[in-house]
Amino acid sequence: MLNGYKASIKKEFLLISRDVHTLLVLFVMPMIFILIMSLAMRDAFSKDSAVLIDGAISIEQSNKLTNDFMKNLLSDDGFKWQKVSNIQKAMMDKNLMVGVEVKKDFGKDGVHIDVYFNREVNPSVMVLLKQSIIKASTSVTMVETIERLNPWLSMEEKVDIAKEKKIFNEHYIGNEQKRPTSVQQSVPAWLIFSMFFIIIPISNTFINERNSGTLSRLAVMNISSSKLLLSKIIPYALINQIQFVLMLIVGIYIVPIFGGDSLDIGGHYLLLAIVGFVLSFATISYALALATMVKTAEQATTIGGLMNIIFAAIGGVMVPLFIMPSLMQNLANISPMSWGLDAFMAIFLHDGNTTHLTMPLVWLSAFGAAMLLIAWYRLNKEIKDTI
Amino acid sequence: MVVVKDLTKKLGDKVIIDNLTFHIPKNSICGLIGQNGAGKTTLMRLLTGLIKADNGEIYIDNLTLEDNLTKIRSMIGFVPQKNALYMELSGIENLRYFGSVLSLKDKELDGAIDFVTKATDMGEHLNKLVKNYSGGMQKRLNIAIGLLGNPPLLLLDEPTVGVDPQTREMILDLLLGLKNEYQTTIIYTSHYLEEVEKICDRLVILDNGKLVANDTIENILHKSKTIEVVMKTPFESGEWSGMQKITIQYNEIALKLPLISQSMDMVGRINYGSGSLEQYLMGIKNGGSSC
Repeated sequence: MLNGYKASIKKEFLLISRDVHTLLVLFVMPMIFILIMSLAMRDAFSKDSAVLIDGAISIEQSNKLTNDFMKNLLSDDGFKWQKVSNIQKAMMDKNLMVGVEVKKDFGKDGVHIDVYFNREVNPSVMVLLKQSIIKASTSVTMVETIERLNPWLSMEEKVDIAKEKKIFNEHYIGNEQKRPTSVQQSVPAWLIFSMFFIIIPISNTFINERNSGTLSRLAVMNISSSKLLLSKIIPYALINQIQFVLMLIVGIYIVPIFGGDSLDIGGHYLLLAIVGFVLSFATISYALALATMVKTAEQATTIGGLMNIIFAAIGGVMVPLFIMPSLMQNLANISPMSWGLDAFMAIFLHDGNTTHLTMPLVWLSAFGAAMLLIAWYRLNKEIKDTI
Repeated sequence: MVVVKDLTKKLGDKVIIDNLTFHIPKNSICGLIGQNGAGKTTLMRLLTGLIKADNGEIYIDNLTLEDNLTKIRSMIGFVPQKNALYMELSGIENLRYFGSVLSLKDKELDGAIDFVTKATDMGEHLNKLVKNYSGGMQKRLNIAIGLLGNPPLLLLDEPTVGVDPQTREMILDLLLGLKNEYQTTIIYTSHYLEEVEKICDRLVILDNGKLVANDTIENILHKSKTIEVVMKTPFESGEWSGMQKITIQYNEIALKLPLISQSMDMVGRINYGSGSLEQYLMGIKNGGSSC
């Protein structure tokens, strides 16, 4: 019995090792994606982001002072402003990072600017906005006074004085969310994506076996549907684990060579191994179910490829979840790739916290079990009904 | 070795195998013949347990197939019609894989591979990838895999289709050798009547799922003998009205001869046919005498 499984594993490895296209899809494609996306997205994920920050601005009453203030603020290169009537609503709905509300008594004594920060915003952006407000408020007496009396002060010191003098009130909205670094996002994202592409070798082998009569021959050699499925799961699970380890190595050692951050897995080897096996179970079962449902290798490649791209697009692989609007973030919950990413994020961002890790693993396991059941039923039917 | 009793298989409303009953003794080669759609491949799949019968029983070595599927399958070598091979593996890798599936290992596996590769004369090609084999070589490998473990019952579905004459001769010699040297019982389907005549001891003939004949090749050839009667002038009335030449099958002679003897003075010439499978099948197709 064990001999048969060993032979199956060897056979599947030989078949894959001789299929250059599959090797490219399973191993080279994710490595290239990890490298490119980790480096390309580094600044976008960085706290020193040079990307324009989306902000909302609201002015209660338009007059020369407020117009001058706004003109100055709009001329600042660091922000992209949208005029809105309700700052807090606009920030929540449009996922804007900052907001400035100029009250009608602006220019008179007292504090007449409210500044809103999304709790997700980087501290550097907060400093940058405060500096921009001080610059834009040069026509306001108090700031002018600071400027005139303390011309030698640095901008940071002026911000502190302004804060002390209460030029503006600060408010914080939204929930603080932990964000991955670009390498923490790219490595699991493209690893999961490539693991799902196991559909190609599995379906090609399976469809060839079915069409050539090898499946019938194996059945006559006393291989049952469950043995057949298991003899596929074992070798492909090993191939998935090789992908898993290789992509982590790329994240840890190769990305830094090209100037990116190194992937910090925080010593969670066991948890990563568990995530790897559960993911593998889900991807292989899904591939087997699809392979038993399609007629030709072309159908498998087209349908499987398309499904993978859709799963990736909505699941936060191609576009990180945290920059998606809330509707799309909710939609991501239907993608198995998103469950896989959630499991990785539970390890990378929440130190392997079981509260964050359990549900993604449960969803992946349930999905894998359902797909395996479909594959087993279809294969049984296939063997019995084919004439 | 193989006993089939009242076997019926339907696909929807269509009866594919219609109440078949026959037996095949041990150490014989049985040809399973019939036109396309006669039910040969379905019968093969029933015999291998790949599909279940709607009615009837199959006994192999006195065991019912339904209750002893695993044990019976371990006695069967199956050679499907298509070359059921892994094209991206070499010949030896295919043999090792299928041998391992049959639980052969180490020296036993090496010995089995050595035996089948010699039997099918494909030693020098073993290390090439199967996708680079000729059609004949793929067919040899397909058969070689069926022979792994030297099974006492060998089922082959059209093993000689699409092969060159040398490979066909090799296959036929191999089947005869297996029967003579290893007492293997062989059932194989074919469209080539001359090769069936050459190597088979028995024939099972199917027509639209029904059993038409189950007999030794000698008996069937005997039954296929014919008498051709050429009259001086055509018959004026009766069954053969307007016909001048009639052919009477062996099994109809007793019935039809009295009718001819009534017009004995009009008989011009009588020819005796030696009999062939083709004539027998033609006779079945035409339902008896022909002109």
